[in-house]
Amino acid sequence: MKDKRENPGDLLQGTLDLLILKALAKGSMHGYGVAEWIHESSQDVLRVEEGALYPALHRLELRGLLASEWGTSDNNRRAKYYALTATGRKRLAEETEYWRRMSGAVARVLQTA
Amino acid sequence: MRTFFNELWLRIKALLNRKQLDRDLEDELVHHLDMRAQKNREAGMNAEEARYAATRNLGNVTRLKEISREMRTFAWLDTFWQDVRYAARVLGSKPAFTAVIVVTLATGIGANSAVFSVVNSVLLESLPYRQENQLVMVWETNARTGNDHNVVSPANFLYWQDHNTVFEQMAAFYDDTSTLTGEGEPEQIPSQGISTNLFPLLGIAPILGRDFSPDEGLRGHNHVVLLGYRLWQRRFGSDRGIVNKTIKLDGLSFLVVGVMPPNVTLFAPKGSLSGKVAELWYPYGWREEDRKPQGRWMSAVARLKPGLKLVQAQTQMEGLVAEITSMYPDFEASWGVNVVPVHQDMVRNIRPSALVLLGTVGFVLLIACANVANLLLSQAASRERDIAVRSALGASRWRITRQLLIESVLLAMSGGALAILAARWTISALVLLIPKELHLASVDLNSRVVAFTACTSLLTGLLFGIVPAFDATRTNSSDALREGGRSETGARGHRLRNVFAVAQISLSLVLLAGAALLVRSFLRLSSVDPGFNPRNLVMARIDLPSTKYPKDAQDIDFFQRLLEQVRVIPGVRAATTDNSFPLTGMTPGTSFNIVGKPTPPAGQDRVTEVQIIGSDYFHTMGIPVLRGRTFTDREQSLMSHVVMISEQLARQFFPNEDPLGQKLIIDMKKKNEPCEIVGIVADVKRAGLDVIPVAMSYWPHAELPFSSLMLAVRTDGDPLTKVGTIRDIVHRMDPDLPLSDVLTMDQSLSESVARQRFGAVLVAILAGMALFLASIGIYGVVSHAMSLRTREFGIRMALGAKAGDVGWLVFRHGVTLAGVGVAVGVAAALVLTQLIRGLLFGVSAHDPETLAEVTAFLVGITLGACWIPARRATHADPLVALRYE
Repeated sequence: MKDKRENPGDLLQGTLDLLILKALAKGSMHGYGVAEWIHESSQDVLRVEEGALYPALHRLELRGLLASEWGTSDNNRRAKYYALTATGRKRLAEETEYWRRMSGAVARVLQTA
Repeated sequence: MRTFFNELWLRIKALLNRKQLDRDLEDELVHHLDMRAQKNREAGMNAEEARYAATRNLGNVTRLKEISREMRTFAWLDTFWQDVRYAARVLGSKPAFTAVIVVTLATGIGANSAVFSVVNSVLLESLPYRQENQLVMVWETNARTGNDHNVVSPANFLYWQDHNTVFEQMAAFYDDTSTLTGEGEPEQIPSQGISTNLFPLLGIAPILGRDFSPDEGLRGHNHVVLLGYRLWQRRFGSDRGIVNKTIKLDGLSFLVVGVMPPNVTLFAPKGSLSGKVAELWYPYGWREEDRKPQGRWMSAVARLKPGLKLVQAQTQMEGLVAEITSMYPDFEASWGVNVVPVHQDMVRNIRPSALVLLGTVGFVLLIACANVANLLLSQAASRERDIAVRSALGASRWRITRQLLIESVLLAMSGGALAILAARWTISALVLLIPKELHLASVDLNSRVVAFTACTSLLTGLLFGIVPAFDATRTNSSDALREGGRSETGARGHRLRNVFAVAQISLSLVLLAGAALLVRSFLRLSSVDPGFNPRNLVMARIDLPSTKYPKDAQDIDFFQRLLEQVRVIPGVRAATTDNSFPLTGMTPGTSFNIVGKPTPPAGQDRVTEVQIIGSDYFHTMGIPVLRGRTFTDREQSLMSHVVMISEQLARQFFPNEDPLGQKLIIDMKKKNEPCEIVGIVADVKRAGLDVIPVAMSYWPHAELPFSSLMLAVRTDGDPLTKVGTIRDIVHRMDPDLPLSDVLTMDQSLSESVARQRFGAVLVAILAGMALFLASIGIYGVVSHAMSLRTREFGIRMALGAKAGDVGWLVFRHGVTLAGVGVAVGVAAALVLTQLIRGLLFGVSAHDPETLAEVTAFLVGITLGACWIPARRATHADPLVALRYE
């Protein structure tokens, strides 16, 4: 088994993965929906690099964290919907915990005068 | 772990369903663009702007698809397949070039496959016995003669069998011949007497009837027989009702208990009278006397207990021999024991030659590789731009190297495939060359040969491809792309090509030297004087069954009457009898004493071989009588206690005195009388042309009656034309007597050197192939070098150089190659020919004459190969040469 956090130093990629997992926590969504949800939930602060979104989705699917299914979108088009698998859900919890600790630690460091 | 399989599954699915995957990717991205564009329009952009912004946002769609695709598929497999197809296209676009390489490789690889098929059947094919790796032969060894594969005494065998704890079982067998009479012609059948546990020990069961029971191994109960498959088919018409019927062997009734499967070929090379594969088996009838130490004549085979090592068996057997020695010091002194795995035992004579052949044919392949590498290097210049473009477009050096390697492996695989297609013919051609005495049953194209060929092809492809591939990718792309720019690759490739040419010359020299040594050695061996005259001499065996001819006098009388009738056949010059075939048979031997000399201490007996001869023997055989006289007619028919000896016996046992008049006592008869030496004859090379004759004594038939004798007949013309008449005479004398093993001595002489001839012919053929390939290679290198220098030559000639000067420049290149190649080759040959030292006869592995001849020959061929391009250079028109580029 590989290290669960590949490239631990690569915060950006890890972050994007976490955001995607979080976006799908409520239910299945297509790629565009994920991008929009992140954008809206962060109150327009985070804009996902769309060029990186799809490779990330496909990678997570390959790792078994996401499952996908073809369905019809609101505008009646064929769209690929992603959903969390059980592994994905577990990973989301771990990653969230990890992120909390990291950001807490960073915040504490920044608070010290 | 589950995620791993999940991933693997998705990848395999993607691999199987590439089109679908691509369509899905497309759909997904298009959907995204549509959604984004719609949102942009809602934000107030016009349709075109909205789509443009959406596309810009998403970035390079093609690249995105590539990333996802590569993520999902086995990227390397994909590109690998791409490379293979590309390589096939490249090679297909140059059919002549490709064909030359494929044929060259097919020759090299095919030769390897053919030789491997023989080596495989000789050295690797397992024997048809249950768990063959546990089977061992147990031989006695004799410290004095150095023989470590001596047949075994029955007493020792029984002692070993009773006292060892290392073997599951021990069995014994010996070669014999049995006369089969009854329906049809009487016939001599090669047979074996065996202990009743032999076949169970080997794990072979009869296909019909039953095996021997243990009590059938007792004297008096042993008149039962198992038939060989071939004999059953040939003589009994595959009659399934033969079991429990009785057949007549040597005049006695034997009950047929079963039929053995085909290919039961266990035979002891050293214990074999005839060297033939037995076709029937009878149980040896053991009796109490067998426990008394007497002569050695059995072969022993045993099955190691599971988990025991060979060395443990050897150690224990040595202990048992020590026990026997302390009980019977006279009998066992200087004797030891040798435990050898059966497989190793069977191949011990042929193994060295087989390995030399494999090495030789490997050299041929190396030379072929050098040729192909040269061709690829000469192509490198034309590939240079192509490669530069690819690397400028971002292909990594590894990717390009891999591409080129795939090309060369593809070439080699094609060569290998062609070789396999041709293998049926090459192998059957090779089988024709194999002497019958090697008993190779199954040389064929089996899966192991195919696997060997595939591996050889793969390695070959990598071997000849790797240097050109690395060389080609070293190119500096900016240099190569410059129009008309002549990069340094040409010069570097040229150096490499010179190295290959030198290697080819050296390898060829080594092979030629080896071949020349083997051929010379074979010729020396063939011209050895065997000590008798083999011209127009035919021999045949006649066995008188003791049931019908119980008295010695009957035997003597029979053979004398036979000789009288044979001698009057028109065209027969002389006829006689003796008791063994020269060159192909075994001669009995015995220890002896000399009257008036002390008996030597135990283990240092005087030993002589024994020939029982009929009248007119030395004249018929053409063996010179050196001193004294031959036997008189009276001595031939009445026991008169006289003997004749060979030069070697005289030299060995009467070094400083006159043997004539001295008396010998042999230990061969029930009552041994001193016999007076009346004559000395020249030595005969009975054991083989390359074997120094041992001491021999000749006895009149009356002195040592023998019931199995060889009839020897010398004729005016082809002796085989007289065989029919001789057979009629025998038939008239006794209708139940077969005339077997009819053999002309010319034939027998030629068969005795068959293995050496086989080796010499095969190595010579391979060396010829090597020479041919190497001369093509040298020609190629020199003419390629010339073509590179065409402009230079044009300038030189324009500046006033004579045609001869330019020719000399080209020729000098060839001479340099030849000089270096020969120097390296001679050095290598001096080392490597040591490996065939054991196969040589009468010629040293460093024979300077052979080496000088081979060198001169090879230099001649090399210069010949350079002469053609050199001549072409002298005819070059300066104007044409200058316009060349």
